Amino acid sequence: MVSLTTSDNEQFTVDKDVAERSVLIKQMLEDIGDTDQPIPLPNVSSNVLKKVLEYCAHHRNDPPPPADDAEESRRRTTDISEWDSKFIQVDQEMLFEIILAANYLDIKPLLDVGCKTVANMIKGKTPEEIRKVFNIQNDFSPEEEAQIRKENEWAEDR
Amino acid sequence: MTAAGTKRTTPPIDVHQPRPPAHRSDADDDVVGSQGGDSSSTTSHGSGSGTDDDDDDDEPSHGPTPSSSRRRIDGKAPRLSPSPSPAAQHRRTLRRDVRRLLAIGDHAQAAEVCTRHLAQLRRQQQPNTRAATDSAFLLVSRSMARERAGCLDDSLKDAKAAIRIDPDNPKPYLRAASALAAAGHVSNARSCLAAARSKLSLASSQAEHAWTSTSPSALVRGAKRRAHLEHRIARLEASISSRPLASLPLELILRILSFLDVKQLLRTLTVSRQWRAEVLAYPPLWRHLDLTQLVSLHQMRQELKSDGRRTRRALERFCHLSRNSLVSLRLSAVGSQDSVDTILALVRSNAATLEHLQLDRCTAHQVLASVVPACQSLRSLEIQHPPSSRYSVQEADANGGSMVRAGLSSKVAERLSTIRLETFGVHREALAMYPQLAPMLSQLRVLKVCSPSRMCSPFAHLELYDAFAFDALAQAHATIEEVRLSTCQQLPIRFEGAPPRNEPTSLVFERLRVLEGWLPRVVRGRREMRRETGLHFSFPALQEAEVGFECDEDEEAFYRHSPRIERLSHRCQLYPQGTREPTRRIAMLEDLRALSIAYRAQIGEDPAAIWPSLVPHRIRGEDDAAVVKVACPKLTELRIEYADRDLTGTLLIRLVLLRLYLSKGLTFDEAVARARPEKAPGRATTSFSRAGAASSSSSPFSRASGASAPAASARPDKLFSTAATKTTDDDDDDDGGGRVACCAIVSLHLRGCDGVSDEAAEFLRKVVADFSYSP
Repeated sequence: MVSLTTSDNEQFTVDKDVAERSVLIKQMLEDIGDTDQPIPLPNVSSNVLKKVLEYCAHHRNDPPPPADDAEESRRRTTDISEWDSKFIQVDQEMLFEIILAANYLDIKPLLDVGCKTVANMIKGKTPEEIRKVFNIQNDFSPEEEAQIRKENEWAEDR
Repeated sequence: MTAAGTKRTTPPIDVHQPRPPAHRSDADDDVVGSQGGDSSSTTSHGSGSGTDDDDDDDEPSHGPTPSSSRRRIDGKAPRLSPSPSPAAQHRRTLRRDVRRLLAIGDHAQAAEVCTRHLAQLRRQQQPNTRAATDSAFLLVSRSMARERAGCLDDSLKDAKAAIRIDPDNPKPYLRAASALAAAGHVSNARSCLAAARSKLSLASSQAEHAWTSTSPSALVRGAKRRAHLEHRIARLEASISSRPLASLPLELILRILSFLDVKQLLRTLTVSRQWRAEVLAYPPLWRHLDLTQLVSLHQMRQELKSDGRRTRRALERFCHLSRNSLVSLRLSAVGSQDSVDTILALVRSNAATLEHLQLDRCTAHQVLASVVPACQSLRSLEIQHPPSSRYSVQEADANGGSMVRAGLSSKVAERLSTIRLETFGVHREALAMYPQLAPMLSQLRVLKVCSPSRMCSPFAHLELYDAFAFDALAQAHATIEEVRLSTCQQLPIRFEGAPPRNEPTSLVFERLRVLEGWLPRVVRGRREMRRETGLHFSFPALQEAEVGFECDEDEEAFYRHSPRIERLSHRCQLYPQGTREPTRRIAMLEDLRALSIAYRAQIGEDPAAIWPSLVPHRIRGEDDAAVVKVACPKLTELRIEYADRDLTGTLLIRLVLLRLYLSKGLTFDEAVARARPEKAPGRATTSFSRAGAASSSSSPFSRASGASAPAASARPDKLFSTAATKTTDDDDDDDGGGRVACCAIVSLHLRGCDGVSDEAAEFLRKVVADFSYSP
């Protein structure tokens, strides 16, 4: 069993193999050895960690994710497994918190699920809508924008 | 402002008699009010806050006063006790001061005042409700001051302290939410807001309960304060959700973008300057180029006109952006030979990192000779020959082997797991080499295989077109998952002489899809060949099949040698006139669970004769005697397309009536008897077709339809009525026949079928769990 303490001082106790879905925690445990001390996770709040641990518990027996060379298969955005897609049906805030937490805790499969979900959200959106999603100011002049669009025209179907 | 105005008219009402603090509802109500006042003072001005203070002061002092006395007090007392106690006066001034400071933006001063008074309160050691409310107010105010001054952590601490002191008050939750949101803890802020909301609704429900014990004006005031607080919560909520992705770091945004396809990615380049620079400077995003997706007719024309300019430019650009580390490349070489040469040269110079390569309209030999040897890390290779230079078998014989050997030799083939060579002949010797050349190869798709005699590699997927005699597959069958074969000139699979290592049931042909055009061509064009070679369709473990047969014997042979089929998709387009009763043959499949059957052509046979053999029923009469006794007892899924009316009507009535009668508690024999059509097929046809038509007017599915008798000539009622004599006949006939399982169709899909009335459809919808019908 491993104890984890969140940013809001809540303590979670989970099985070791569940916690070790997180590469960060795994490495910490390797570094410090077996300990009863709770591992502090100052970047994760309790409701996010609860969600993340739910994912880890469901995937506790998964084979370790393949190394980066499986890039081609990684890029297909639609293939989120059924359980995962249900799991990731949360509001946007939670989605981004999960992505941040997965990145911090280094849980690649979960990070991918989150990123794929956002990518699916972006799909088919206009630049203006993307700006809105990412909260970005448009600093192109209309002429520049038209120029760039022309450059990439070849990729559009018409 | 209006709220403040009304408040100003009411101050004297409650500014009096301290009551024993026990009843929380009023206090809550007023605490809410205090927040309303607080917010109005902080957001707008300090002028109205004096009256607000008055309200606040007596919050905790409401007690469980009997409603009658309370009303009397409220109604008359205000003016009788105009002067509040000095303590109340003091608290009011304090609140006013704090609010004024917050309103004018002197956050430091406000915080300091709060701190001072908090310390005072603590020294007083009066653990009463009033003191608690005061501390909560001071903490909330200090929290706000600190948040505005930028000390988010302290602000949050204050808010939490206030929650501890006054846990039923929604205000501190709102405060905490605001501080959390400012610090970027969005989901925590959300949960705090949710808490604030629930406290607020609790407060209002309590106020509702206590309305008899509250003065009307206090009620109005409380409601207004709650509305105001509600508004503030909603505003904070809105402001939180309007800044979602902004907090993600760049590396994660780039990771998200890596899941987009090229078109989407390029489209995002106009988002902003910095965005564009970051995206363009991140090579992993540009390692995959798929130009085959992007081909529209217009683009194709442009491409031809400009001699492949688009492809060349896109390729150059991606090579540059990915820092010459393309991982997957799919393109179709269009244009003159010069253009193709340029493209191939470009591909070649970037080949070292390529893992997936698909080149359409390229001369396979050229690719194999020039590009492939440079691909050190290739995993899958697909080449589509240009149609203009179709490859001849002789040519393949002449140089295919050596070419393939040259192209795939050495290290290139080692990691290959997929090879697809289309419109491209491979010599038998060459194909026989693949297993040795490419030990990882599991997927192979080739056209024009010239008699590969030995094929021992464990392919999981094998797709062959135009294959010549392909008789050695049996040796590899143990691991084959799917075979697709088309236009093979000699039937390719023979298991008769299969190696006996495996039991016939352990063959792993789970799915065999016989592509359209295969059998007809083979059978029609080379019938004599079929006879000569004595081919068999024998798939003892086949479970799923999609077939279309041209000749009865083939079909029969297929079913006879593949008895385990559970799912059958039967295409009858090519049924010639006069072919008889496909379902009699299908009925051989005892394990059949799902049948999809499509009729396009006119069926030149008696429709009534098609179906009886499929539906489980007991056989009677000489006609049926030849048919298997119990057919397809497991059939539960049925999909029919383009059947004509007679067929549909017959089928439906039989299937569904059977089900209906069974559900009514009749024995199977009785049900069958009632559901069965007239004995003679010819008569049955007419009756059924009429019955199908008549089902709209009468209700053919219920036995008690005697009242609305349809046209006398058709007599559909006869079909469904209990012909007692018949029943007994049946019993006599079928004495020897065993009990049969119920045909419980749970899934029925009808498309393009005539003869299903609205009423019948309605009925089917009720009886069959999964039913769809589109005429």
